[in-house]
Amino acid sequence: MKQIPVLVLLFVASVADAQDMPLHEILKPGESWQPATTDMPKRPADTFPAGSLKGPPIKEPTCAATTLGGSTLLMASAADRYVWAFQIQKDGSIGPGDRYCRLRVRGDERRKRVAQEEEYKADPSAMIIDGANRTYVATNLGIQVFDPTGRLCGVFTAPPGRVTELIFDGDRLFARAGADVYVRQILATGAK
Amino acid sequence: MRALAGLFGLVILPTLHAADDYKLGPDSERQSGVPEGKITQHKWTSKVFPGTERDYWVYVPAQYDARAPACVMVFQDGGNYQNPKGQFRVPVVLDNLIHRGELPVMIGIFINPGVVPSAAGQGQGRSNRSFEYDTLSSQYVTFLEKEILPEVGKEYKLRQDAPGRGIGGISSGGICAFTAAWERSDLFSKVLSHVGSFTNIQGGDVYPGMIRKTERKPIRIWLQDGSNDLDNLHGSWPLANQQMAAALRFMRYDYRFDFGDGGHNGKQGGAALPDAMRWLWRDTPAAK
Repeated sequence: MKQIPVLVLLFVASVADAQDMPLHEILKPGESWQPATTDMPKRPADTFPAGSLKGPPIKEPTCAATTLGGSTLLMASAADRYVWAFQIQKDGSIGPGDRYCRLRVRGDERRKRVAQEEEYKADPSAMIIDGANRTYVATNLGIQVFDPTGRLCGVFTAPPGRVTELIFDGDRLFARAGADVYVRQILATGAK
Repeated sequence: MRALAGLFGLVILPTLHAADDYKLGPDSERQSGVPEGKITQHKWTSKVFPGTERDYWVYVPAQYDARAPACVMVFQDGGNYQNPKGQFRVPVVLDNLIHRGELPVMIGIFINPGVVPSAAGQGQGRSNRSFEYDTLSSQYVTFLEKEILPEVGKEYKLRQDAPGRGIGGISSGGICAFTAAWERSDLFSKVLSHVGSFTNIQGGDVYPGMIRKTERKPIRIWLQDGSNDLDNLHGSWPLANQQMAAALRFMRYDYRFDFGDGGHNGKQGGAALPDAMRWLWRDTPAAK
């Protein structure tokens, strides 16, 4: 057992740092998705689609984003109900990772009848990080938002169709679904 | 009121006081003539939780004798629990209670949650606390079984049987303690939960229903919460803990529900820690 000198570094109890981020701090009352009158903004430079990775570390990756500051790659999979988190190494390669954000799936709503193969799959199809390091994932139940420690803040309505791209422009969240682009004003803002 | 309280298995506090006005008693203070145990700090890089790093502390009482295996108590958010000037002061409590023979000789293992540091040297690392503590799975108890317990066991002789092992924690660390024993009651038989997060952070609100329809497991539980605990997007802590207590009562578990008026902190749990430890570890059988 490797011993190190006992430093009296008082551990700040995480209970005092609950980071509660309920939906009412994210969604603006009275706002909903509207057809966009402009094109989708450009995706920020520190995030990238899963397709640009060489040798993705999980099965069936569908969408990905990097956390603020670039320490962690978040990647969703079509094969399970998790957004995985991987350490980004100094050389930019992908380091160790694990499941991190547990997506809500249709099987959680036990009264609904869904096809067995869909029961525990969320169909994550787009991902973006906001300026508070929250993760937004477009799924078959709506847009799921997670706080920086991987806890579900909530789920809000997605625009019609399967969302394939999410991008912030200030306090406006853009979503591409098929050939259509939608926008919704929210209380959160995108990463700067 | 007492009948209603009894219905939920409540423990009525004997004195009236302002909300959350809990004070540590003499068992949580250093007493003259009581030998002090030794605390050492260590670092661990995990494989069960890939890429995570963490600190942990090991408390060894003065009465430890390498010829006999010592009981084990594991604490989540260990830096908080091992702090001799904090809200719990576990090493001080253990010194006093072991000295008086009110607890068996016991080694304390205080483990912080994992962090995946920022390798690129920019941005924050990733806190793995919620994933490790709030997830309903055997991954955390496997981490204890495969990594921490064997590592500490290299230096100290530890009890290998569940009756000689307990686990405790606060908030998400509380539900983590319950999950560890629920998943592996062959490894841990005693659970200490302070303001436990039996709410929907990662689906932990399902436990009361699961407990009621699962054959009773050989687990003894001290469940502490207060009426001023959290009520937020994940749920209501006071209601969730009352649901837990009611389910444990329904299934005739060996449990105590210490429900006061504390908030989401360690004041109430810290003040009652000596009682909780005496209760959890009463009648501890000798190692087999």
